[in-house]
Order: sequence, then structure tokens, then C-alpha cells
Amino acid sequence: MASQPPRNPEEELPDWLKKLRAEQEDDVFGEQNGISPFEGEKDAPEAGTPAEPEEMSAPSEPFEGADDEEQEPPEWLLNIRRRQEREMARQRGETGEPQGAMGEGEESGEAPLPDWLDELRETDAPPEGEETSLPSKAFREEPLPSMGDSEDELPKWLSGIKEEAGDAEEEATGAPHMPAFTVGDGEEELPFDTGELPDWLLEEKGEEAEEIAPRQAEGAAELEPAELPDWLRAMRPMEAVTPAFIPGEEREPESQETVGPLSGLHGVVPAESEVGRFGRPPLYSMKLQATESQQRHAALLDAMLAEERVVPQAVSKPPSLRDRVLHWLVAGVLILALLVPVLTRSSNAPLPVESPPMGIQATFELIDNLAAGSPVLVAVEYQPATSGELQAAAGAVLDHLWVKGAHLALLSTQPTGPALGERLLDEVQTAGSYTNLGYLAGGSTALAGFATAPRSILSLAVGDGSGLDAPQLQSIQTADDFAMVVVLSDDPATARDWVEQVGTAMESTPLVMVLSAQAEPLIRPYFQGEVGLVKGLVGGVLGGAYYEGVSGSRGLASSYWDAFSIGLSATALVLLVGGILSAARPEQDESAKGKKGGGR
Amino acid sequence: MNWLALGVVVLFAGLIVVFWLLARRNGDAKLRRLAAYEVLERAISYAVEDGTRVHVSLGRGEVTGPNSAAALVGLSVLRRVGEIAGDSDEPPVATAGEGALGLLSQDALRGAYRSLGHPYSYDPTLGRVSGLTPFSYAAGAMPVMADEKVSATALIGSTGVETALIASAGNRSRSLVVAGSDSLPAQAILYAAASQPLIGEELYAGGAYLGAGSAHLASLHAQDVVRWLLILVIVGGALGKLLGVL
Amino acid sequence: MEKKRTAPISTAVAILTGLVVLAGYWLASGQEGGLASTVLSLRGNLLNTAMLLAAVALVLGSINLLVVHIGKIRHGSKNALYSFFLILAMEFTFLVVLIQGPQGTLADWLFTYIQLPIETSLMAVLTFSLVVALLRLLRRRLNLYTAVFVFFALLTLLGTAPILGVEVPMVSDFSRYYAQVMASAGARGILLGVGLGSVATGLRILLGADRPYAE
Repeated sequence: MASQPPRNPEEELPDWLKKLRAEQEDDVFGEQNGISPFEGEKDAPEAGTPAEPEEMSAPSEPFEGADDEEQEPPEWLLNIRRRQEREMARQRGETGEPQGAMGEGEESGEAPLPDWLDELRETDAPPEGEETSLPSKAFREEPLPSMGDSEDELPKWLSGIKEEAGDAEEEATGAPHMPAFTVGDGEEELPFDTGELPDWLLEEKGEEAEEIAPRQAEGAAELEPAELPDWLRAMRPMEAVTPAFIPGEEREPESQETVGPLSGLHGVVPAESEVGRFGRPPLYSMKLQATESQQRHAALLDAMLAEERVVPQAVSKPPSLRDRVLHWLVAGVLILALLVPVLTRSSNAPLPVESPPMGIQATFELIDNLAAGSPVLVAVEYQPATSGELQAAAGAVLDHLWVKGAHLALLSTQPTGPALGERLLDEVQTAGSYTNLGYLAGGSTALAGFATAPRSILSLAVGDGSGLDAPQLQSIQTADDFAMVVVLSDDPATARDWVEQVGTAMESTPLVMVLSAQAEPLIRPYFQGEVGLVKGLVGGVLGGAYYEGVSGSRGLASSYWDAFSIGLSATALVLLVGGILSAARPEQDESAKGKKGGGR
Repeated sequence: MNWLALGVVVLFAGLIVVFWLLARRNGDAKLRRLAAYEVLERAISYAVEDGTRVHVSLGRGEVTGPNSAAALVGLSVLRRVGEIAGDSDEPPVATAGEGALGLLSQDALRGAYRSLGHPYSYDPTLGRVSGLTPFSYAAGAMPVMADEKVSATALIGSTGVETALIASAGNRSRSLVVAGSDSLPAQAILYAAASQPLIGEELYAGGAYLGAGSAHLASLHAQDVVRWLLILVIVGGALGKLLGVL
Repeated sequence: MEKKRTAPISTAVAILTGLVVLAGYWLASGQEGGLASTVLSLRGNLLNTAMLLAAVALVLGSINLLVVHIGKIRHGSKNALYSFFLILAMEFTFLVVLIQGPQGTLADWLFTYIQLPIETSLMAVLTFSLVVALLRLLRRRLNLYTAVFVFFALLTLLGTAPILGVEVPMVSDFSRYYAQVMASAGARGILLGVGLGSVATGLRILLGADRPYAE
């Protein structure tokens, strides 16, 4: 209970109660040794003592109608007074100590009591024979002043209030404190229905009362034991949620602390004995506790994610019928145009002999001026795919070289170059000597090194192993030591590398190019320029046919000429007719349709 | 000592540095519209969305030769495509016609995955050598477009006439073909065969248009300046020759 | 060492190597002694190393080809049967050349009767593909440039050889003039632009602004 500042209870009593008390003092307590039931109240209240409830204070003035001498106090009040007297007498007889703060002896000269007390008595009087469930320890050790017989007892609520007043007195006098509301076994009834109280409260109260009584019996010299008030006890955490608590099972009796300032208390955290004691830690479930709703949501999310993981299979659309027909039509026309002249070995188309280009003339003159046994470097720089064209273009040139007795040294910066060179020489009609220097890796980088130091560079080449050791090549120390360099290429970039890396390093050795029709226009400026790094130029099947006409030989170019001519014409015809038809029925631009390019 | 060549190189380098510093301070300048790169960027986004693949073909230019410049541009484009589409369902695939280029393509893709933050998703077979001769390279690249759900092909590198086969295979499989080469015959072929051809030096602008960095933009601006200087020199020289001055 | 830590080293090596080879271009014209000869010697060594690297890259490319096709067979990809035949042919050719050498009989036979026909056939297919591509171009993108393109393609075809066996001098002369003057001039301009682009790409690497070799 919260302690309230000490108040003078005498001053707070209503007037009627004061009067009542005064009359009681005169009548009831006159027989005693001058002890006034309110003696303690007359003294200055000690600090910390609770205030006396107003209801328990003696009325400052009698009840209404109390002054009327003709009215007698009600019977029930008289009974209460008699009962209290008996109690006090009994206790006095047991302990020999004066008891009670309240006076007794209402048998003689009772003060008139107000009607409301009378009414309360009638309504709250317990039925006879009913036992109360109040614990014995709820009662005070010192008997309360008798206020009447048991037959006309105070109502339950009033008796409780009286006890509270008695507690206040005790506190004021230093007497042991008793709780205002106590629940005990057997002797008193609570002002409310005890059936509504939870059992644990009743049990606790019982235990508390039992515990309090022995402590109180030890005497006032010891420290007051700590006591949990009711409201604090009600706030205790539910032990049912802890693993240690299993509903239905008896709890282990709480140990009582025996040392330190908390000695005598139960249920406190042990200070010393528990420190070194390690128990098994509680086991917690690792399983995720998910409700049904959560599981449904999780399943839904999983299904959504699974849809995202499925990669849609892209359907590859086959070419349209129109494109396929076009392919077959074009292929059919061109194959027919090329196959018929080859199978029939026709030679209707006139060979180009008149006014050969300057590059062809220059090449012919350069080769014609070679001495017998001259070392000529032949660079085979074309791909197997264009071997048909280059063989037709270079056949007559190589044939002319061998007619002049030159020793050919084959070299290539393409992996397939050495094999192509061998095949090329197999097609040449005239026989001659040659050395296959092999494949030189590194492209233009290798050419730059070859131009200045061919022997050291050729040690890295993959060839037949002889390198420049052939007798005709013994004198070769730089690229300029060759009598001529002939480059056979279908790629303008490769041809340009030879011009820029090797041609610039050679001062006296002529550089001749035999190129495919696609590369010839890009290298022509090197031939036509003032510097003239390229001294001779033969381009494509046309150039080969010109060279055969100039040299008087008949090679692949001549045998291809009819098919070549008709094939080109057929191609031009297909383009012309197809172009007119396509232009007449144009396809809408796919980017204007908003589609991705390609018609997807 | 070829002082003229040295002067041109020093001027070019200086212009690149200046434009690079200006770009980093003032932000990227606006470029003229190049439909090929716009279409390519759009196609990459579509490919990511509809679960198809982008194929980048790097050509067969030797890394040690003069054709390496086009190959390096192709690698920059591949890196950017990898950074955009690398974490899609079907990551981009690269084909090359040269050994060193194949290895560099793997490096570029690995770097793209690393920049995306999941290097362990990288598959080394995404960068491959499809053939070691020009036509075998084309023959190896053609099935990639037919079999591997390719919706767009970027043919950026040094290629020859064999590029027509790759472009026509792309057309047959109804995929977009954006192609450029440093070879003139290849450019002529691609003008007819590709959906979006890149003519001349448009090939070298790939890095700038695809956001490879401010250095690419700076070199593009430096190219413009030097080009105009060359035009002035050519026209001036021709006039001087005509007038008998030179 | 992690890639990030080696990036500055790679960049430094790339820049120094490029500068040495570039400097050797200006020093190659007869200068001797001191720094010039050192630079030229270093340039020569670097170029030789590059040649070796190119050859090694060829081998690595072959291995990469093998690995990719083995992977296709293992995963059961579409057309894995063709990958099987490719690997079979590759191994067989390798063994033949290893035993007989590149000029051996069997190696020559394989090249002459298998590789050569296949590649020339692909070239023939290219011819058909080009014709079809030109027709599709007229259908898909009909404008002035396309019309000019097709016109000069026809002119070149008709001017190269006699038309159906009949020589038409005007056509061949005009075709030759157009090819050697107009087309050549246009090609020259395009090549200049390509050259500028190549120089710019190379300078970006020399300046360290572009690092295609680093991750």
C-alpha cells in the first residue's frame, strides 16, 4: 500500500462520528483504565502512518437523531460492541497485554447509531451457520475492540473497513501492519464474492498469510518482511509461456533466499548458488512457423517466379516461299548458263587480245627480260575459295616464268598458302624448279621482318625444311636480292601489306601483282602512281585471258572464257529482269512498320 | 625521318586528349543520327525481353596487323552488348575467325559479366573461334544464327567477301544484321546483303554510339577535325597542281 | 594476382610496346648508334614475339574450336552430329599432317579433294546469295542510291566480258573508265576514312584511353 502523509485523523472525522466517539468514550471506555480508543489518534500521527479512513473515524458528532436521548442505539450495533469486548477480554486473558485501540463496552450506555448503519446490518449480516473462508492469519493478533455480539455482526464490507482502520492505528502506534483486505480460510468473509477470484490468488493469499504469520511471530525487533501487494502480485508475468512452465504440472517450490538483504523472500533470483549452475539451454524449434495464409501467399509467389524461369522457346521461322523460289530460280539460270558452255566446250566468245591493259604489258616485258635461273619469289596469298579465279589469272604468268627458266620460291602468310601453291604449280603446263618456303605466321609483321632479314624470319616458317639453302637461293640476303617478287592475292589488304612492307624495302626488284577482279581496282593506284611501287598488274580472269593472248599460250582463262562471258551476261539479265519486277512490287520498309529489322 | 607522318600522329593524339578532357568536363556532345546503331540498340533490348540472343561476329582481322583496328572496335561493341544483355536468359555469343581474336572475345565477355556483378555466370564457350580461314569462319558462323536463337547479328570487324554468306544466313533466319567492315569489297556486299550496313568510318564510331566511353567520342571528334584538314590539303593540292603552283 | 591489380601494368606494357614499335618506324631509315639502335633492336624483338604469339593464337583457336564442339556434343545441342563429324575430320587431318607433314600425299589429297571443293562451293553459293541480295535490296529499299548501285553493278558485269559472246566496245570502255576513275576515287575516300579510324583506334590504345585487353 502506498504510504500517505500522516494526517490527524481526528480532524477528518465527520462531526457525527466524533460525537459518537465522544459518547463512547464516556460510556464505554469509562470503565477501563482511562484508555481511550482514540488515544493513538489524539497523539500526533507518526510519519509514514497511513491515514485513517474517514469511515472508520469516530463521528465528530452523533448521527442524526443521536442527541435525542430518547433513541437507543440499534441492537446490531450493541451486539457488535459486545462481541468486541469479549474478544478483547479473551486476548487480554491470553497475552496479558492491553489490546485494542478501540474501546469497548457498548453494553452500558450505547450511543444512538444512525439508521443507515442499521440498514446495513440487516442486509449484510451473514446467515447463521455459514462459515467464512477467511484465513486465520487474516486476523489481527491483537483483538479488535468489540463492537457487538456475533449474532449481530458488522457487515462484511464494514468489518473489512474496520480492520483497515485498525491497521492504520497499528501503523500509527507501531503495531504490526495488517492488510486492509485479506483473504483467509474460515473466519471472515470478503465483501465480494470469493468465487470470482482466481485460485492462484486465493492460494497465494493463503500462502502469503501463512508466511506472514510466522514472520510476524518473530517479533517486531526484526525487519518487516517484504510483501508483494495484491496489485503487484496480479502483474506477475505469466509463467505459462516459458518452457519451464507446463500447465497442469506442479511447479517446483520456489527456493527461499537465506542470505543477504533479500533473505526470507521467495522466488528471487539467487545471488550465489545459481551463478555457477548451468542448465541445459531451452530448445527452440527451427521450423518456420507459418500460418496457412502465409503458406498460400508463398506458394503463389513461387508459382509466379517459376513462370519467369521458363524460357520461351523462340520459334525459328523458315524462309518464305517467295524467297525459296527466287533462290532456286536464280541458281537454275546461272547453273545452266555456266554448265552448258563447259559441257559443250564451246569457244564462241572472242578472246580479248586487242589493246591489253598497261599492267599486263608491263608484266609481260618484265618477265621476258629475266635471266635464266633467276630467283623469283612467288607469294601465294589467296584463299582456296578463290583458287579458281587466281589459277586462271596466274597460270599464264607462272608458265611464262618457267619458260624463262626462273627458279620459283613459294611463300605464304596464309595457312593454306603452301598447299595452294603446290596445286597451282601442278596446273602449269611447263615444268620448272621451285622451292616451297612454307607458311610464315604473323601477317604484315612477318613481312616487315622478311623484307630486311629473310633468312632469320624464314627459320620460323613451316616449309619443307630447305628454306633458302637451295643453290639458286644461296645469294638471297634481303628481299631485294630476288629478281622479281610476284604476289598472287584475292585480298586488297594483303596486297597492300606486300606493297607497303616489302615493296618499300626493295629498290631494284620489281613487284608484280596478280590479283582477283575485286582487288585490282584498289591496287591500281600503286601501279599508276608516280612512285610506281607496283611494276606489273594482272587482274582476274580477264587479265589472265589478256596475258594468254599476249604470251601466245592457252590456259585456264581461255578455256573458261565462254562460260565466263555467258555467265556474266546471264547474271546481268537476271538482275535486270528481277530488278524491274522487284521495283514494280516493292516491299514496305520494315523499319516503317515498327518491327525489328529482318521481319521478326 | 618522315616528319609529316610524325606531325599528323602528334596532332591527332593531341586532339584526342583535348576533346577527351572537354567531354569529361562538359559532358558528351550530340552525335549525328546513325540508324544502324539505333536499330542495333533497340534489337538488343528486344532480344533481352523475348529471350533471344545477340550474335557479335568479330571478323578475321589479325590483332598484330593493320586490320586489328576494326577488330578492336568489334571488341568494344561486344563488351557493350555483353554489359547490356549479359544477364538475360540467352547471353550474347561472339564468333571470330582468328585465334587471338577469339581469346580477346572471351576476355571481353568475362569483363562484361564482372561488371554486371556475377562473374560466375560467364560461360567460356560464349566466345569462340568458328574457323581459321575466311570461308571456314563464315561456315562456322552461319549455324550459330540458325541454331542458337539469334535475333540480331552485329558483324563488326575485318571481313572479306565471305561476309555475304553470314549476312544472307541472317536474312534467311529473319534476324537483324548490322554489319560493317574495313574492306571495300565487303562494304559493297554488305550494302546489299545487310539490313543496316555501316559504310566507311561509321564502323569505327561503334564504341561512341553504344556508350563505350568519352574517349571514343573524343577520338570521333578528332577524326572529324583531321578529316577536314585532309580535305583542305587535297583540295588545295589539286588546285595548286592545276594552277601550276605545285 | 587479381585482374584489377594488373590493369595498370597491362596498360603500361601496352603503351610502351606501342611507342617502341611506332618510334622504330621513324628510326628505321638508316640511323645507327645509341638510343636509335636500341629502339630498333627492341622493335625487332617485339615484332618477332608478336609473330610467335600469332602462331600460338592459331593453335589456341584450334583448341577453342574443339572445346566448343565437344561441348555441343555433350549437351546434345541441335546439329550435334555435325560437330561430331567436324571433330573427327579435325583429328584425322591433324594425325595425317603430323605423320606425313604438310606436303605429304594423304595431306595433299585431303586438301585437294575435300577442303578445296568445299570452299569453292561456298564461293559459288556466295555468287547466288549476292544476286538474291541485290534483288531483295530493290524490293526492300528502293531509292536513288539503290538504283545507282544496281546500275553500276550491271555496267561492271556487262563491261567485263563480251555480252553473250558479242563484244560491245562502248560498254567495256565506259566500265573501265568508271572502275578506274570514279569507283577508285570513291574507294580512295572511303579508305582514307578507314585509315583515320584505324589511327584513332590505335592512338586510343597508345594513350591508355581504350583497353580492350583488360577486364
